[in-house]
Amino acid sequence: MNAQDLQLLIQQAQDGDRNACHLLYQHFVARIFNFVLGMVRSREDAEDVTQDAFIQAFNNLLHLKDPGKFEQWLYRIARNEVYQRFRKKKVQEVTLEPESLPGGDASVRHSVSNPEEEVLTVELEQVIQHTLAELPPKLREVFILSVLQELSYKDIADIVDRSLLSVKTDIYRARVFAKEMIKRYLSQG
Amino acid sequence: MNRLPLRYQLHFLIGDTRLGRRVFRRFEESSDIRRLRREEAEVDTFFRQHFQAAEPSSDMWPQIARRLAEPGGRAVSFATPGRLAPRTVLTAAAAVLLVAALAMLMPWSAGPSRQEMLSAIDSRYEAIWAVDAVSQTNPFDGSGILESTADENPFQIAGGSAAASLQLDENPFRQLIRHD
Repeated sequence: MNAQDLQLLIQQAQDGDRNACHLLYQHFVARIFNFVLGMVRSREDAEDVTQDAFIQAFNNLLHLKDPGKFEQWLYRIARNEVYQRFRKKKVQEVTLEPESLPGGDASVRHSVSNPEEEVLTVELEQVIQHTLAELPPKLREVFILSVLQELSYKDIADIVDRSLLSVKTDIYRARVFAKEMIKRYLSQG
Repeated sequence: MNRLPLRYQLHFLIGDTRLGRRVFRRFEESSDIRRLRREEAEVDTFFRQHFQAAEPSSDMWPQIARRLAEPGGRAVSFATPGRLAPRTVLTAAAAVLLVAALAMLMPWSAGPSRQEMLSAIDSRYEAIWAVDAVSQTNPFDGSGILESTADENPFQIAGGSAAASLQLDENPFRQLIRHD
């Protein structure tokens, strides 16, 4: 879907077209869900938060002045919902549930024919999940948005409502941390 | 950047394009920086390759559509730069309430009227003027001595009733004259 189609869809959704809302949901749900899951570390919570984020977005779509910024706006809503969830639970870190995380569920895992390769894939996925879990939420959110979601620094700064410099610094810190974690893993193996 | 000479750092900060370009060229040519950038790219590649994106266990749209149809959706609030944070608003409201409470507790009186204040100033002014007028009379200016007779004591004017009660014989000046 190109930017023009997306803008048209957003305008239709702003006019109350439920079908346009559904198409927007289909277009963004995977990205938003993965961002939220990376933050809350629980599939059940991630589904609840993603659902809440879309409902908030569609209920407040008329407040969005620039349809071109819909994606950043949606991420921002999802992020707010994540932090509200953190506050409700009174803890920043939710227990890591390996079965509920990406890579922990066999049904969504990439099919690999070689058993050794499969073991390695699972192991690498665990390293990634462990690294993400160890990152503080402030660094984790910008790392996921930059490295995994491949958003621009400017968009990330808009989403997390911080300066570009602060975002760049935190992404750098997160990368250094991730590099150390991977090095540690490789030196063990 | 801290390793760069100061003039490079300054020109980099103030945005001189010619020197800025030289600084950037230095960055590009630096083996340390190239190694750092390569390592960063490797981290990104590692994560992108091995991260397995998840999908929700079920389609959430039916629930979302049902909830959207319910009346009275919660309004979302965003911390936009133009809007104050809730904590700031609460602090300001608490400060206003505190000032209002203190103002109510403080004893309040209307104070003297303008006329009373002016009459007090006038009477004070008159008293000052009267004292000033007395102090203008110099008993030592000589006029009193010239006009008075030889037996009059010029200190009587300055000394008041106590001085006036002295006997003429007790005048120390007279005694001095006699000795001469």
